[in-house]
Amino acid sequence: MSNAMTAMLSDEELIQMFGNEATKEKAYTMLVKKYQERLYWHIRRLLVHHEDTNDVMQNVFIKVWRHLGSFRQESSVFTWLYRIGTNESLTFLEQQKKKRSLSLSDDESPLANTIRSEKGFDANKLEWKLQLALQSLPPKQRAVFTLRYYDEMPYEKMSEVLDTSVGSLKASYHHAAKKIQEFIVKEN
Amino acid sequence: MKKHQTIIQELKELDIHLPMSAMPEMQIPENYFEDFSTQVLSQIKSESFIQSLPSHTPYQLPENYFIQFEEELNNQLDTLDFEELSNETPYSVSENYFNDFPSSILATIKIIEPTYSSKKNSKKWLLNLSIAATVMLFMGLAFLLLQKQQTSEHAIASLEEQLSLIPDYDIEYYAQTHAGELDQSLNVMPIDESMIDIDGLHSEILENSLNQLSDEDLAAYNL
Repeated sequence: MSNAMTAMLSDEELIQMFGNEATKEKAYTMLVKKYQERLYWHIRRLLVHHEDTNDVMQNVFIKVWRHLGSFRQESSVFTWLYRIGTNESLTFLEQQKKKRSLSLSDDESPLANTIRSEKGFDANKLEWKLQLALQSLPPKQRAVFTLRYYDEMPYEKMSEVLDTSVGSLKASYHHAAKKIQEFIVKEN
Repeated sequence: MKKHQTIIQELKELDIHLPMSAMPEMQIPENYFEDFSTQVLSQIKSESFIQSLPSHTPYQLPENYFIQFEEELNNQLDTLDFEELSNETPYSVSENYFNDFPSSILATIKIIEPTYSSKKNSKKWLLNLSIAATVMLFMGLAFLLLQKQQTSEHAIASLEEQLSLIPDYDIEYYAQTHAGELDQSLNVMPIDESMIDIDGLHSEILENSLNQLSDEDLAAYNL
Protein backbone atom coordinates (compact mmCIF):
# COMPACT_ATOMS: atom_id res chain seq x y z
CA MET A 1 0.00 0.00 0.00
CA SER A 2 1.45 3.39 -0.93
CA ASN A 3 2.20 6.19 1.53
CA ALA A 4 -0.48 8.31 -0.11
CA MET A 5 -3.04 5.59 0.49
CA THR A 6 -1.84 5.16 4.07
CA ALA A 7 -2.37 8.84 4.68
CA MET A 8 -5.86 8.59 3.25
CA LEU A 9 -7.01 5.94 5.69
CA SER A 10 -8.79 7.32 8.70
CA ASP A 11 -8.21 6.12 12.26
CA GLU A 12 -11.63 4.43 12.22
CA GLU A 13 -10.69 2.49 9.10
CA LEU A 14 -7.37 1.49 10.63
CA ILE A 15 -9.11 0.28 13.81
CA GLN A 16 -11.53 -1.71 11.68
CA MET A 17 -8.63 -3.27 9.78
CA PHE A 18 -6.89 -4.01 13.07
CA GLY A 19 -9.94 -6.00 14.17
CA ASN A 20 -9.48 -8.33 11.22
CA GLU A 21 -6.75 -10.94 11.79
CA ALA A 22 -5.75 -10.87 8.12
CA THR A 23 -5.11 -7.11 8.06
CA LYS A 24 -4.13 -6.61 11.71
CA GLU A 25 -0.38 -6.21 11.19
CA LYS A 26 -0.80 -3.97 8.16
CA ALA A 27 -3.19 -1.67 10.03
CA TYR A 28 -0.89 -1.55 13.03
CA THR A 29 2.14 -0.67 10.90
CA MET A 30 0.17 2.11 9.21
CA LEU A 31 -0.92 3.50 12.56
CA VAL A 32 2.63 3.45 13.91
CA LYS A 33 3.91 5.20 10.79
CA LYS A 34 1.15 7.79 11.02
CA TYR A 35 1.91 8.89 14.58
CA GLN A 36 5.44 7.77 15.44
CA GLU A 37 7.28 11.00 14.61
CA ARG A 38 4.96 13.38 16.43
CA LEU A 39 4.90 11.14 19.47
CA TYR A 40 8.65 10.58 19.38
CA TRP A 41 9.42 14.31 19.54
CA HIS A 42 6.91 14.88 22.31
CA ILE A 43 8.55 12.15 24.41
CA ARG A 44 12.09 13.21 23.45
CA ARG A 45 11.46 16.76 24.67
CA LEU A 46 10.46 15.32 28.04
CA LEU A 47 13.18 12.69 28.35
CA VAL A 48 15.97 14.24 26.24
CA HIS A 49 17.89 10.96 25.86
CA HIS A 50 17.21 9.05 22.65
CA GLU A 51 17.60 5.62 24.28
CA ASP A 52 15.10 6.48 27.01
CA THR A 53 12.74 7.91 24.40
CA ASN A 54 13.03 4.73 22.34
CA ASP A 55 12.25 2.58 25.40
CA VAL A 56 9.15 4.60 26.19
CA MET A 57 8.09 4.58 22.51
CA GLN A 58 8.28 0.78 22.53
CA ASN A 59 6.18 0.62 25.72
CA VAL A 60 3.60 2.99 24.24
CA PHE A 61 3.17 1.05 21.01
CA ILE A 62 3.10 -2.31 22.78
CA LYS A 63 0.22 -0.92 24.83
CA VAL A 64 -1.41 0.25 21.61
CA TRP A 65 -1.12 -3.27 20.18
CA ARG A 66 -2.70 -4.75 23.29
CA HIS A 67 -5.54 -2.29 23.69
CA LEU A 68 -6.39 -0.92 20.24
CA GLY A 69 -8.93 -3.72 19.76
CA SER A 70 -10.88 -2.51 22.78
CA PHE A 71 -10.35 1.21 22.09
CA ARG A 72 -13.79 2.81 22.53
CA GLN A 73 -13.11 5.84 20.31
CA GLU A 74 -14.48 8.26 22.93
CA SER A 75 -11.43 10.36 22.09
CA SER A 76 -9.28 10.41 18.96
CA VAL A 77 -6.47 7.89 18.51
CA PHE A 78 -4.05 10.83 18.43
CA THR A 79 -5.20 12.08 21.87
CA TRP A 80 -5.16 8.53 23.22
CA LEU A 81 -1.57 8.01 22.00
CA TYR A 82 -0.42 11.31 23.51
CA ARG A 83 -2.09 10.35 26.78
CA ILE A 84 -0.27 7.01 26.94
CA GLY A 85 2.99 8.64 25.79
CA THR A 86 2.83 11.43 28.37
CA ASN A 87 1.89 9.08 31.23
CA GLU A 88 4.64 6.63 30.31
CA SER A 89 7.18 9.48 30.13
CA LEU A 90 6.13 10.95 33.48
CA THR A 91 6.28 7.49 35.07
CA PHE A 92 9.73 7.00 33.58
CA LEU A 93 10.94 10.33 34.99
CA GLU A 94 9.48 9.47 38.38
CA GLN A 95 11.32 6.12 38.37
CA GLN A 96 14.57 7.83 37.41
CA LYS A 97 14.11 10.30 40.26
CA LYS A 98 13.56 7.45 42.73
CA LYS A 99 16.65 5.65 41.46
CA ARG A 100 18.68 8.82 41.91
CA SER A 101 17.43 9.33 45.46
CA LEU A 102 18.24 5.68 46.27
CA SER A 103 21.75 6.02 44.92
CA LEU A 104 22.12 9.25 46.97
CA SER A 105 23.25 11.07 43.86
CA ASP A 106 23.48 14.82 44.35
CA ASP A 107 23.07 15.41 40.62
CA GLU A 108 19.98 17.64 40.70
CA SER A 109 19.47 17.98 36.97
CA PRO A 110 21.09 15.09 35.10
CA LEU A 111 19.09 15.94 31.97
CA ALA A 112 20.81 19.32 31.72
CA ASN A 113 24.14 17.47 31.43
CA THR A 114 22.64 15.19 28.78
CA ILE A 115 21.55 18.27 26.80
CA ARG A 116 25.05 19.72 27.00
CA SER A 117 26.46 16.47 25.61
CA GLU A 118 23.95 16.39 22.73
CA LYS A 119 25.25 16.54 19.18
CA GLY A 120 25.29 20.14 17.91
CA PHE A 121 24.80 21.67 21.34
CA ASP A 122 25.53 25.40 21.34
CA ALA A 123 25.15 27.19 24.65
CA ASN A 124 24.72 30.50 22.84
CA LYS A 125 21.78 29.40 20.74
CA LEU A 126 18.39 30.22 22.10
CA GLU A 127 16.81 26.87 21.13
CA TRP A 128 19.37 25.06 23.30
CA LYS A 129 18.87 27.53 26.13
CA LEU A 130 15.18 26.79 25.89
CA GLN A 131 15.87 23.05 26.25
CA LEU A 132 17.94 23.73 29.35
CA ALA A 133 15.22 25.99 30.71
CA LEU A 134 12.65 23.24 30.17
CA GLN A 135 14.63 20.94 32.45
CA SER A 136 14.24 23.43 35.28
CA LEU A 137 10.46 22.84 35.23
CA PRO A 138 8.65 20.10 37.14
CA PRO A 139 7.89 17.19 34.75
CA LYS A 140 4.14 17.77 34.42
CA GLN A 141 4.60 21.50 33.85
CA ARG A 142 7.20 20.61 31.23
CA ALA A 143 4.65 18.36 29.53
CA VAL A 144 2.09 21.19 29.56
CA PHE A 145 4.58 23.63 28.04
CA THR A 146 5.83 21.27 25.31
CA LEU A 147 2.32 20.18 24.31
CA ARG A 148 1.26 23.79 23.94
CA TYR A 149 4.45 25.35 22.61
CA TYR A 150 5.79 22.67 20.27
CA ASP A 151 2.71 20.62 19.40
CA GLU A 152 0.41 23.65 19.48
CA MET A 153 -2.25 21.49 21.02
CA PRO A 154 -5.52 23.20 21.98
CA TYR A 155 -6.17 23.39 25.72
CA GLU A 156 -9.28 21.20 25.34
CA LYS A 157 -7.20 18.39 23.85
CA MET A 158 -4.46 18.92 26.42
CA SER A 159 -7.15 18.55 29.06
CA GLU A 160 -7.97 15.08 27.67
CA VAL A 161 -4.30 14.10 27.40
CA LEU A 162 -3.28 15.24 30.88
CA ASP A 163 -6.63 14.71 32.61
CA THR A 164 -6.49 18.26 34.00
CA SER A 165 -8.95 21.15 33.72
CA VAL A 166 -8.43 23.79 31.02
CA GLY A 167 -8.10 26.51 33.69
CA SER A 168 -5.31 24.65 35.49
CA LEU A 169 -3.51 24.03 32.21
CA LYS A 170 -3.61 27.71 31.27
CA ALA A 171 -2.25 28.67 34.68
CA SER A 172 0.42 25.97 34.46
CA TYR A 173 1.48 27.09 30.98
CA HIS A 174 1.66 30.71 32.14
CA HIS A 175 3.88 29.77 35.10
CA ALA A 176 6.07 27.60 32.88
CA ALA A 177 6.58 30.37 30.32
CA LYS A 178 7.45 32.83 33.07
CA LYS A 179 9.98 30.45 34.63
CA ILE A 180 11.57 29.79 31.22
CA GLN A 181 11.86 33.50 30.57
CA GLU A 182 13.50 34.08 33.95
CA PHE A 183 15.86 31.16 33.39
CA ILE A 184 17.01 32.40 29.99
CA VAL A 185 17.41 35.99 31.14
CA LYS A 186 19.47 34.78 34.09
CA GLU A 187 21.65 32.68 31.77
CA ASN A 188 22.26 35.70 29.53
CA MET B 1 26.03 3.60 82.55
CA LYS B 2 23.57 1.65 84.62
CA LYS B 3 20.83 2.26 82.07
CA HIS B 4 23.19 1.23 79.27
CA GLN B 5 23.84 -2.11 80.97
CA THR B 6 20.10 -2.59 81.42
CA ILE B 7 19.49 -2.03 77.70
CA ILE B 8 22.24 -4.49 76.78
CA GLN B 9 20.68 -7.01 79.13
CA GLU B 10 17.28 -6.39 77.58
CA LEU B 11 18.68 -6.93 74.09
CA LYS B 12 20.36 -10.13 75.23
CA GLU B 13 17.06 -11.37 76.57
CA LEU B 14 15.52 -10.62 73.19
CA ASP B 15 18.32 -12.68 71.63
CA ILE B 16 19.76 -9.60 69.90
CA HIS B 17 23.54 -9.57 70.11
CA LEU B 18 24.95 -6.22 69.16
CA PRO B 19 28.68 -5.62 69.18
CA MET B 20 29.82 -3.29 71.92
CA SER B 21 31.25 -0.90 69.35
CA ALA B 22 27.67 -0.22 68.13
CA MET B 23 27.01 1.56 71.39
CA PRO B 24 30.04 3.74 72.12
CA GLU B 25 30.27 5.93 75.17
CA MET B 26 29.62 9.59 74.35
CA GLN B 27 32.75 11.64 74.61
CA ILE B 28 32.85 15.26 75.73
CA PRO B 29 35.81 17.59 75.47
CA GLU B 30 37.97 17.84 78.55
CA ASN B 31 36.84 20.53 80.99
CA TYR B 32 33.77 21.18 78.85
CA PHE B 33 31.49 22.01 81.74
CA GLU B 34 34.15 24.04 83.52
CA ASP B 35 34.71 26.24 80.46
CA PHE B 36 31.10 26.37 79.28
CA SER B 37 30.07 29.59 81.06
CA THR B 38 33.22 31.37 79.85
CA GLN B 39 32.49 30.37 76.27
CA VAL B 40 28.89 31.58 76.42
CA LEU B 41 29.96 34.90 77.87
CA SER B 42 32.56 35.33 75.16
CA GLN B 43 29.92 34.67 72.48
CA ILE B 44 27.59 37.27 74.01
CA LYS B 45 30.38 39.80 73.98
CA SER B 46 31.23 39.15 70.32
CA GLU B 47 27.57 39.45 69.32
CA SER B 48 27.38 42.78 71.12
CA PHE B 49 30.43 43.88 69.22
CA ILE B 50 28.89 42.94 65.85
CA GLN B 51 25.73 44.79 66.74
CA SER B 52 27.74 47.90 67.48
CA LEU B 53 29.20 47.89 63.92
CA PRO B 54 27.74 50.32 61.30
CA SER B 55 24.96 48.73 59.25
CA HIS B 56 25.57 50.53 55.94
CA THR B 57 27.66 49.02 53.10
CA PRO B 58 30.66 51.04 51.97
CA TYR B 59 30.40 50.06 48.28
CA GLN B 60 29.70 52.68 45.66
CA LEU B 61 27.07 52.27 42.94
CA PRO B 62 27.34 53.63 39.42
CA GLU B 63 25.14 56.66 38.91
CA ASN B 64 21.50 55.88 37.96
CA TYR B 65 22.25 52.18 38.21
CA PHE B 66 18.73 51.13 39.21
CA ILE B 67 17.06 53.23 36.54
CA GLN B 68 19.34 51.73 33.91
CA PHE B 69 18.94 48.22 35.35
CA GLU B 70 15.23 48.30 34.81
CA GLU B 71 15.71 49.45 31.22
CA GLU B 72 18.34 46.76 30.59
CA LEU B 73 16.16 44.07 32.06
CA ASN B 74 13.24 45.14 29.92
CA ASN B 75 15.46 45.08 26.85
CA GLN B 76 16.59 41.55 27.69
CA LEU B 77 13.02 40.42 28.22
CA ASP B 78 12.08 41.91 24.87
CA THR B 79 14.79 39.89 23.18
CA LEU B 80 13.14 36.68 24.40
CA ASP B 81 10.18 36.59 22.11
CA PHE B 82 8.73 33.11 21.97
CA GLU B 83 7.31 33.86 18.56
CA GLU B 84 10.81 34.43 17.21
CA LEU B 85 11.93 31.07 18.53
CA SER B 86 11.76 28.14 16.20
CA ASN B 87 9.44 25.51 17.51
CA GLU B 88 11.73 22.82 16.16
CA THR B 89 13.56 20.80 18.74
CA PRO B 90 17.32 20.90 18.19
CA TYR B 91 17.83 17.19 18.99
CA SER B 92 18.81 14.81 16.23
CA VAL B 93 17.72 11.25 15.59
CA SER B 94 19.57 8.47 13.79
CA GLU B 95 18.95 8.01 10.10
CA ASN B 96 16.19 5.51 9.20
CA TYR B 97 15.01 5.40 12.83
CA PHE B 98 11.45 6.16 11.83
CA ASN B 99 11.60 3.85 8.78
CA ASP B 100 12.73 0.94 10.91
CA PHE B 101 10.61 1.63 13.98
CA PRO B 102 7.35 -0.07 12.83
CA SER B 103 9.11 -3.32 11.89
CA SER B 104 11.22 -3.31 15.06
CA ILE B 105 8.16 -2.80 17.28
CA LEU B 106 6.31 -5.62 15.48
CA ALA B 107 9.30 -7.90 16.01
CA THR B 108 9.28 -7.01 19.73
CA ILE B 109 5.55 -7.71 19.96
CA LYS B 110 6.02 -11.16 18.40
CA ILE B 111 8.65 -11.94 21.03
CA ILE B 112 6.82 -10.66 24.08
CA GLU B 113 3.27 -11.60 23.07
CA PRO B 114 3.20 -15.41 23.10
CA THR B 115 -0.41 -15.47 21.90
CA TYR B 116 0.60 -13.72 18.73
CA SER B 117 2.45 -16.06 16.38
CA SER B 118 1.40 -18.24 13.46
CA LYS B 119 1.99 -21.43 15.49
CA LYS B 120 -0.15 -20.15 18.32
CA ASN B 121 -2.70 -18.95 15.82
CA SER B 122 -3.09 -22.48 14.44
CA LYS B 123 -3.44 -23.77 18.01
CA LYS B 124 -6.03 -21.11 18.65
CA TRP B 125 -7.84 -22.12 15.47
CA LEU B 126 -7.89 -25.77 16.62
CA LEU B 127 -9.13 -24.73 20.05
CA ASN B 128 -11.91 -22.66 18.50
CA LEU B 129 -12.85 -25.59 16.25
CA SER B 130 -13.02 -28.01 19.18
CA ILE B 131 -15.13 -25.56 21.19
CA ALA B 132 -17.48 -25.17 18.24
CA ALA B 133 -17.73 -28.97 17.81
CA THR B 134 -18.52 -29.45 21.51
CA VAL B 135 -21.20 -26.77 21.39
CA MET B 136 -22.70 -28.40 18.28
CA LEU B 137 -22.70 -31.83 20.00
CA PHE B 138 -24.45 -30.46 23.08
CA MET B 139 -26.99 -28.63 20.96
CA GLY B 140 -27.71 -31.83 18.98
CA LEU B 141 -28.16 -33.91 22.15
CA ALA B 142 -30.40 -31.27 23.67
CA PHE B 143 -32.52 -31.21 20.50
CA LEU B 144 -32.91 -35.01 20.50
CA LEU B 145 -33.85 -35.12 24.19
CA LEU B 146 -36.37 -32.37 23.71
CA GLN B 147 -37.90 -34.13 20.72
CA LYS B 148 -38.17 -37.44 22.66
CA GLN B 149 -39.79 -35.73 25.62
CA GLN B 150 -42.27 -34.00 23.33
CA THR B 151 -43.16 -37.37 21.65
CA SER B 152 -43.84 -39.16 24.97
CA GLU B 153 -45.83 -36.20 26.29
CA HIS B 154 -47.85 -36.25 23.07
CA ALA B 155 -48.48 -40.06 23.37
CA ILE B 156 -49.72 -39.75 27.01
CA ALA B 157 -52.00 -36.89 26.07
CA SER B 158 -53.37 -38.87 23.15
CA LEU B 159 -54.01 -42.01 25.37
CA GLU B 160 -55.80 -39.93 28.01
CA GLU B 161 -57.92 -38.39 25.29
CA GLN B 162 -58.87 -41.82 23.87
CA LEU B 163 -59.66 -43.26 27.35
CA SER B 164 -61.95 -40.37 28.11
CA LEU B 165 -64.05 -41.37 25.08
CA ILE B 166 -64.73 -44.91 26.51
CA PRO B 167 -68.03 -45.08 28.51
CA ASP B 168 -67.77 -46.03 32.24
CA TYR B 169 -69.88 -49.23 31.86
CA ASP B 170 -67.47 -50.55 29.19
CA ILE B 171 -64.55 -50.03 31.61
CA GLU B 172 -66.49 -51.84 34.44
CA TYR B 173 -67.35 -54.77 32.11
CA TYR B 174 -63.68 -55.03 31.04
CA ALA B 175 -62.55 -55.04 34.66
CA GLN B 176 -64.95 -57.83 35.62
CA THR B 177 -64.11 -60.05 32.64
CA HIS B 178 -60.33 -59.49 32.95
CA ALA B 179 -60.04 -59.42 36.78
CA GLY B 180 -57.52 -62.32 36.87
CA GLU B 181 -55.28 -60.70 34.30
CA LEU B 182 -55.41 -57.39 36.17
CA ASP B 183 -54.51 -59.06 39.52
CA GLN B 184 -51.66 -60.86 37.86
CA SER B 185 -50.34 -57.74 36.22
CA LEU B 186 -50.51 -55.89 39.54
CA ASN B 187 -48.86 -58.93 41.27
CA VAL B 188 -51.68 -59.24 43.84
CA MET B 189 -51.90 -62.68 45.54
CA PRO B 190 -55.40 -64.15 46.29
CA ILE B 191 -56.14 -64.28 50.09
CA ASP B 192 -57.02 -67.54 51.88
CA GLU B 193 -59.39 -66.48 54.75
CA SER B 194 -58.81 -69.71 56.70
CA MET B 195 -55.20 -68.68 57.23
CA ILE B 196 -56.13 -65.46 59.14
CA ASP B 197 -56.29 -65.57 63.02
CA ILE B 198 -59.16 -63.15 63.68
CA ASP B 199 -59.09 -63.60 67.51
CA GLY B 200 -55.38 -62.99 67.63
CA LEU B 201 -55.78 -59.77 65.63
CA HIS B 202 -58.53 -58.57 68.03
CA SER B 203 -56.37 -59.14 71.13
CA GLU B 204 -53.40 -57.38 69.49
CA ILE B 205 -55.52 -54.30 68.69
CA LEU B 206 -56.94 -54.29 72.28
CA GLU B 207 -53.48 -54.57 73.81
CA ASN B 208 -52.21 -51.62 71.71
CA SER B 209 -55.19 -49.50 72.78
CA LEU B 210 -54.65 -50.30 76.50
CA ASN B 211 -50.95 -49.46 76.22
CA GLN B 212 -51.88 -45.98 75.02
CA LEU B 213 -53.99 -45.30 78.16
CA SER B 214 -52.33 -43.37 80.99
CA ASP B 215 -52.39 -44.35 84.71
CA GLU B 216 -54.85 -41.52 85.43
CA ASP B 217 -57.19 -42.82 82.72
CA LEU B 218 -57.08 -46.30 84.26
CA ALA B 219 -57.68 -44.90 87.79
CA ALA B 220 -60.68 -42.93 86.52
CA TYR B 221 -62.02 -46.09 84.84
CA ASN B 222 -61.68 -48.13 88.08
CA LEU B 223 -63.65 -45.54 90.04
